[in-house]
Amino acid sequence: MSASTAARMDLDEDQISIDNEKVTIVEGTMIEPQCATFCLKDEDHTLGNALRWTLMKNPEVDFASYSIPHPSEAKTNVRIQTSDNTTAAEAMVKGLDDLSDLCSHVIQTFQMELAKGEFEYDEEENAF
Amino acid sequence: MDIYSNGGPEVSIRSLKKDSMKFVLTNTDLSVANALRRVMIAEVPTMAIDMVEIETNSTVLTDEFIAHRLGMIPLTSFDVDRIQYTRDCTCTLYCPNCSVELTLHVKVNVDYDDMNDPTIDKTRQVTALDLITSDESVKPVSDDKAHPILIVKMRPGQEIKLKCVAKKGVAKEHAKWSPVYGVSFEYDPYNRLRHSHYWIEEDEKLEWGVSANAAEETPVDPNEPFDYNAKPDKYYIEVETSGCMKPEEVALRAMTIMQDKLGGLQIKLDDEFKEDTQRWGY
Repeated sequence: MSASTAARMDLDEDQISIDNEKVTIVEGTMIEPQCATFCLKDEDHTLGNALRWTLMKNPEVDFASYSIPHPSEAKTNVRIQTSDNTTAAEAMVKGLDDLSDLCSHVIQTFQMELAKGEFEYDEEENAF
Repeated sequence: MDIYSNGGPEVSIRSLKKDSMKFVLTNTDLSVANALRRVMIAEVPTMAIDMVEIETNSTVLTDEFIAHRLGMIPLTSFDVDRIQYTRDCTCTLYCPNCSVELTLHVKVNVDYDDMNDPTIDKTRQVTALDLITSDESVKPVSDDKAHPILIVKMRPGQEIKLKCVAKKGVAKEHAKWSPVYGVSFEYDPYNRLRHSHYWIEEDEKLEWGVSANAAEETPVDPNEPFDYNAKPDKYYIEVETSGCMKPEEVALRAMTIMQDKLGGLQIKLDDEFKEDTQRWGY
């Protein structure tokens, strides 16, 4: 057991409800800061594929992909390789940021569209 | 940023009904549209019966059969944000903060006058309307009062008495928590991108007609060369809910849930790798 795992176990004993294993770097994949494979716990294609797309939209990212090594394990690996101008971790943060912005954008446009009300509407009494 | 090429994703709602909504999502990648679809199906929390304590059951159905049927009944969940997940709650088993109790007690008495009259229907249909909830915001969905959801049929002399505990959950754990009955998702109705390979007997065009969504796109000219760089960018989505919440709510919640996931990851990343990157001198 590595020292960091031991430290995390101590945290668990203090009843801190932070999931410390949510994001980890797969051992041996970060040879230099420009490349890393991140392991995301409890994530699947929902996040993996969309995140891969936003990562690839970043011009500083040379390579981005995701895989689910085994279907019985709720884990997603995201591989990032970047140019020298940034780091894999930075690219990851930016990728998450971009996707989050995109989601807010969709929420906004959705709400605007709902407010406009230019669609076929059912006049039936409301269920609630 | 490239993600917002052509002004970013656009949403256009085509129809909005009590329990279904059609909309078109444009200017975004397939992965984003698919993420929205997947979250709507499996990660929007709702309420569903998760525990059943049976006191009396002399019906023809077994306890576990009835418990399963109760679990599948959709419950109104528009107020689900107020309720906690039981696993996050401080209580030991369940409490009003993380659950809603529903009770069911039906006893069919024997009417000796009618007992031998075959013209009288003595079957008592126990339906979702017989469930008595402890919280008015969480009750069985009952759009059609004339045809409520049937739980069990009973004969005179039988009795059923039980207590259900409805909990908050997501369909990733069990499909009973899914807010939707179906999400239809279509792009490229003319199969311009050749993502679909149709099984045919003789003629593809004859056997596979185009969908209604094709009206919004230009037909493929059979002489035009195949554009292998083309990417889908228009997604026709229809959401049909179980009635537990409004369809537009499902879609909006789905996007918010996506953001929450991303936000959670960002916090973890910041905590975990700040030192790592600093060590490397960045």
